[in-house]
Amino acid sequence: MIHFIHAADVHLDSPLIGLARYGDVPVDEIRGASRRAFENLVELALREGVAFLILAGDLYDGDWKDYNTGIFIARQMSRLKDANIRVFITAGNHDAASQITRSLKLPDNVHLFSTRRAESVPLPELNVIIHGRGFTDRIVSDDISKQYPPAQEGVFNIGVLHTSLNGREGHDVYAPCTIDGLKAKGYQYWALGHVHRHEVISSDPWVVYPGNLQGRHIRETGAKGCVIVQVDDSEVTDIRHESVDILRWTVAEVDASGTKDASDIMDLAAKALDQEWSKHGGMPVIARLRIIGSSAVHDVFRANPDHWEAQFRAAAQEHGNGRLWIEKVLFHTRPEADIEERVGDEAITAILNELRLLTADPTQVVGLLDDLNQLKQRLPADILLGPNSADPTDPQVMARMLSEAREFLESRLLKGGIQT
Amino acid sequence: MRILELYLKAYGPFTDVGISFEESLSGLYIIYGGNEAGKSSALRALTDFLYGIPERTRDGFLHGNDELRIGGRICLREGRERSFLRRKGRKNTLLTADGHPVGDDELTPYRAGISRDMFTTMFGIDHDELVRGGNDILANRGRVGEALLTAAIGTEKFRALLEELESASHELFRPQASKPRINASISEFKVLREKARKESLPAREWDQHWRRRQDLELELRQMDAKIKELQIEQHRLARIQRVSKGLAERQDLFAKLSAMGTVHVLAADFPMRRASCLKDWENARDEVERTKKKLEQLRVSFGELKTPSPLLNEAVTIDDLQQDLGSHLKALKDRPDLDGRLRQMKNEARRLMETIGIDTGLDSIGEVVTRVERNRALVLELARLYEAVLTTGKKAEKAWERKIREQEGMQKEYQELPEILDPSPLQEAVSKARRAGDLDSELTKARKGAKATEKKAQSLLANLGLWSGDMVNALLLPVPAKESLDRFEGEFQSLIENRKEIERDNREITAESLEVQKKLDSFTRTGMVPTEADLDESRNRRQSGWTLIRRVLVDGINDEEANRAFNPELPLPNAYEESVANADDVADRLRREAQRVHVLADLQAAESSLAERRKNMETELTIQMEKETSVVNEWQALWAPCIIKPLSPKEMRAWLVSLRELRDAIGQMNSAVDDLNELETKYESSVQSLKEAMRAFRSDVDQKKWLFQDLLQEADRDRESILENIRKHQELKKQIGKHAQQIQEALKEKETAAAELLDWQEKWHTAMTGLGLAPYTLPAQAMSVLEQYTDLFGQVKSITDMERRIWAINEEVTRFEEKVREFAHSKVPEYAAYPTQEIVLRLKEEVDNARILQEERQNYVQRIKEMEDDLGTAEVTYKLMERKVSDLLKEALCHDPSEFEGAENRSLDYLRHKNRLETVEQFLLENGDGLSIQSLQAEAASIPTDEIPTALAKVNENVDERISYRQELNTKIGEENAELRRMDGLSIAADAEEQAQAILALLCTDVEKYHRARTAFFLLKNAMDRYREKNQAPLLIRAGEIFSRLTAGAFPKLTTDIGSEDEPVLTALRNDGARLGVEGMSSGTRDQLYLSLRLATAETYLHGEPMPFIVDDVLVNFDEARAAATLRVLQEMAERTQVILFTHHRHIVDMATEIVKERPGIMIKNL
Repeated sequence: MIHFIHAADVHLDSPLIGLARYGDVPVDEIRGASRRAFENLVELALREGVAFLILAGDLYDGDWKDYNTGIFIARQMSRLKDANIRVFITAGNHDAASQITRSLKLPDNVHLFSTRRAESVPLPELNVIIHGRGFTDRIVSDDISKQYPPAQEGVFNIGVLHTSLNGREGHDVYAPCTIDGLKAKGYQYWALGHVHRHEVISSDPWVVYPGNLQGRHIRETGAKGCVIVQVDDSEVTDIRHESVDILRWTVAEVDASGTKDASDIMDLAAKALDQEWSKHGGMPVIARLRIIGSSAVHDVFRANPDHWEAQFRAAAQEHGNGRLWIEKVLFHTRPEADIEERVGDEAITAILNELRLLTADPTQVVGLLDDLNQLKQRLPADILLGPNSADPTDPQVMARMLSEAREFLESRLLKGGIQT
Repeated sequence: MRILELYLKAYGPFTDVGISFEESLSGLYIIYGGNEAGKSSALRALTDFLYGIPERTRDGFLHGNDELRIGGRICLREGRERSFLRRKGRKNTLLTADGHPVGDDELTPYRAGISRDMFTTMFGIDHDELVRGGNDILANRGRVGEALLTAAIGTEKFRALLEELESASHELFRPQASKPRINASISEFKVLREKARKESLPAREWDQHWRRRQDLELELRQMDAKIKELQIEQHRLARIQRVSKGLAERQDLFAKLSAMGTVHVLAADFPMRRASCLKDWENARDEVERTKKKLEQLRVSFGELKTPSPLLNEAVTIDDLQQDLGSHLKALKDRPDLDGRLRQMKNEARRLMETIGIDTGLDSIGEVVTRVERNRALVLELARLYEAVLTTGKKAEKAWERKIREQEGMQKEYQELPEILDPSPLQEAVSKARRAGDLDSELTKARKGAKATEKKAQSLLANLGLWSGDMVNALLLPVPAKESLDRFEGEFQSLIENRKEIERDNREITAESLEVQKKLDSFTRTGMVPTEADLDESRNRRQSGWTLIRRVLVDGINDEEANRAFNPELPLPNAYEESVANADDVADRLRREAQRVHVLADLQAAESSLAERRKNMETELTIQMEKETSVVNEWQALWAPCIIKPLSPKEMRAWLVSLRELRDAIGQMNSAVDDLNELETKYESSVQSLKEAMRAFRSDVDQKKWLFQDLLQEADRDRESILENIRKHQELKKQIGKHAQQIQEALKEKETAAAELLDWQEKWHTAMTGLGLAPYTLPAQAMSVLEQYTDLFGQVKSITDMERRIWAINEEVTRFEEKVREFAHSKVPEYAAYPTQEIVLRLKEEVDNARILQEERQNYVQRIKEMEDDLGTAEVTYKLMERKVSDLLKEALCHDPSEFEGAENRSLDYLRHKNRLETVEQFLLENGDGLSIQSLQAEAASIPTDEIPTALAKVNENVDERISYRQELNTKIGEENAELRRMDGLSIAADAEEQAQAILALLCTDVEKYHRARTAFFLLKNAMDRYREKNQAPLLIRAGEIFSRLTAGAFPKLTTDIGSEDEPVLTALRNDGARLGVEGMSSGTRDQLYLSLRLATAETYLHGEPMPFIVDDVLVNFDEARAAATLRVLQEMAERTQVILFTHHRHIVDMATEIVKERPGIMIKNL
């Protein structure tokens, strides 16, 4: 009986995204999260005494050029070597882009699969054979599983492949292939990588995504880690997911419907945060708080979102024993009454009406675009480009801001919108 | 909404204060109150009454928060009037006049949708705000929009918000700054990115450094080996050079020692011991001589001292006497002074006695004291009570008189009350009338209803059709029953269906006939087919022919005629043959064309069947037509009684529905008319019965045409006033009763007070007699005498004390003098003749001298004894030192102390050489790198001493060169190591990138915040501008008119100019056409400008149900003419809505009084 670890998508030295350092975030505790998760993975392998470790792609993070990352990997691999644990690595799309991959000298317990053809490494002492292939190009649009050899009779066949299968939500299509195609090979276990969420695609044969090692932003929530696979007589007898991450991302939602008072919502949020916090056994948790529903407190929040965000942060600190942080608070509440019901003053009504007309036609808002352009000129490209672009002059962004600003003004100008 | 009365029941400084606004519905009310009169409280009360008392109020200082009550009576333009009471609290704060809570929404129609904020900003203006508004205009340098907006909505809120947004965004970002958060974050982000870039290690670089370090390390190892080799030679040469001197000296020392031969070596400390011992010996001898000489001198001096006086034994007594002498002298000095003071006191006492009027001498004053003190307490107590007794009496008297006056007043009031009337008939009438409900509107409604139903019925009748007649006949029309209609409809329907059936049959038959005919025709065209009939016929013919032939053949009868008949053209045999052939032919064809024959047969059968069907059909048609005629007749007969020519049953059914509607409408009309009649009767009777009941109370009942509700209200008001009268009667009566009782009580109190006064006077007389004063002495006088007595008695006591003191002094003087003389007699009779004081002083001097002499003698004895001891000690020491010197002689093998020095020098020389030899050898061993002295000697012999420096310099140079090169190598390796360490898998770059991402996250949030703040800023600014643009023109014109009025025509018009920033600015036109900007105006004019804008804005709200306009002391900075003009403008405004002006300036009130003379309509109220 043997067992091995299957991990993928380490993305070593990729930073945590979208986590601003507020006064209460303990920078030291979360620094270098991806490295520490990887160290945890190596610890786990040593502790469990596994036969070998499979890393199914994306060891590095794309454009990252610091060779120190490679040196770190080499060190960790040496630790495994000291314990006679072999490591099988296949290059993923990110690795293909990484310069480190090309020049790194790894110790001899590490096998890096060829990027030119599918390769099979037999491990006769374990009665196992591992097939794999890495890639030289960032974008692979062929079904390369077709090039994998058919299963070898009488031994446990493992296929290592970095792929998006036939498409996975939130992930670029990469080395597309089909389940049937994989099944047709007759392997007992397909060790996949690329999708960051742990998922058992099939159990006959086993086709498994272990997920990534460490959540790095709010879209990577929950426990992250690797899969430990138990094999007896060429058959998988157990698969379990082990977390190795050092901090968690989570989203807590609070329904404020019907609440009358901001303190009611604070209580609800405290409860929700408490629940989220207790799920993760005392680990540092980074939570996004989303407040929805229609409530009388809508105006109060809209009138002073910064103040309330700080309040929620403080509440999180209190409830998370100092280890729960709010990444962002989204105030997605709706007012209980219509604007018309909330207004009294004719002049204010008239101003609000002007606001509405202006919002409908942003070109009428004199001076705004010039002002924003001044800001835009100074902003780093990282903010302006990419999928999360926050270009202030982007029409969509501007439309959203106009509606938010209008709501803010409404709340402030209406009676009762100024309590803090 | 108008305020008719404001009732400050318990609020601020007010208790039960009412202000009425009922005199005029279109006048300006001026409320005048001094500075502390509570003007601003009243102003707040007005708002609080309408909108509730705020949680934190400053008007609960006199009355507790729970007790605060503001009442008010308000009415709408159409006259609806309500009274409310407002209390402070969280809910149910609005009460009816009699204290029942009602919902706040009862006030809604009166507030006309104006919120509290709006009421205070739009309908209230005070001086502070006027100044602020004026300054705002100035601050904006007269910009029109700002000014108008300030007036319209108060820019405070907006400008504060704009400023808040501006400062929030400035804290986040400014294009040219570095400190705002976004600017700072951008810089920090760049720094971190740069750090991440710098700290990133290209793979190639790492490789290069690694190889370089390997190379350098190899070279270093080689260099080390070479250096080691050179250093060995260097060491050897250095060693030879080092030890060569030592080796030479060693040889020399060996020579010196052997020359000295045998030497007695003295201990190292010997010379020191020897010197100190000789010195001590000599010192001891000197000491003995010196001591002996001193002792002799002491003994001589002692023998020369005197013996002390025997008075020394009496020293204690003499000291005592000397001490007492001091106080004795003081007493002698004080006595005359005390005597003088005693005389003075006695004179004062005598003077006091004279004042009081006591003529006994000072010696018998004791009796007076006793008498006065016995009476003092009583007099004091009575004097204290005097005022109280007197006041109580007067008060009781006054109270009684006041009560009597009040009683008279009440009785007068009671008599003046109207006569009591019995309210019950009116009460009954009113309650009956109330039960009748709102008859006015019911009646109106009923009339409307009746008219409407009639109209409907008429229109239905007109539209009925087929029949004409009036409504009565319409109700009586004998229309057939629904069942008959149903039956006919059924019959008509079945007739129609039947006829349709027949027609369909007819169409079918015709079609089928045509078809059959067509087929038969086509048969005919293709040649006829034989039929069975043809066969039968041909066979019959053949049979007929055969019969003719048989008759010829058998019977021989040739019937020519029959033959011709058979066939006129052919002879019989031929004809028969032909018939046989024909019959065969037919039979053949029948057989041969069986199919066609069959078809033809079918067609023929069909043709005959069709003929049959047509015949049947025609019969049916005839029957059908008969039936139709009969049913139509019956149908018309059914409608005959109605004189209607009926349409189809279906149409008639619709007609019947219309008829039914008509009939319903007529029914409704009739019932509405009935109701109306009934209601009219009821109305009339209710009115009459109310009037009946009222006639007893008033005469004008029948003079006027009353609506029922008005009548009822009037009756109710009458009833109320009767009840009120009864209540007043009862109340006054009750009060009068209560008052009579109070008068009795007052009388009783008055009598008690008189008795008390009498009692007091008796006691007083007794006390005065006791004091020896006239009985009618006033308490104040008595008190003054008492005080004088007190002074006298004090003086008497002081005299006694003083006498006692002088006597004690005399006693003490005598006693002391006796004591001194006694002592002198017994001890020193020669002094006895001196005065006391001198005796004591002489004794004292003698004793003091004896004491000093005694002390000196004792001193000498002590010193002689000490000196004798010293001498003994010195002699012992000298003997001891003598023995020590002899010991030293033995030790140095000398016979006389003069030999000591030579022995010591020899021993010292020997030891010095020996020591030097040891040092040199030690040096050689230490510097010989472990080699023995012999080896060193051998090594030194290997090279001539002169050559060593040159050889060594050469080797040194070699080594230095190499060491410095190795240093270089090490530095290089260090550099490489540092590089490699930097590249040693550290996460500096990754950490920097992570920090950069954190900054980026913060930056994103901040950018969003900035974006939101800027958007909100521009949105609001734009919205405000647009709002202003839209509202500017009409407001400006109106404000200009008012401004012209307020400035008494000094500025006929307001207009706009273009300012320095291309913005329209507010400008006033002077009479002479000159233009004056806001900054050129005086503060008063600016106030007027702002007030004009405010008034113009407020006017836009004066539609519907406008709220009262409250003005608080805005005229402070206005000169007289403008203040008067403002009052006039406000007066005009008061015609459109209620205007209340609060002021604490008397001159405003006076001014208003003047204005009223010209034009009435200003009411002045004092607070």
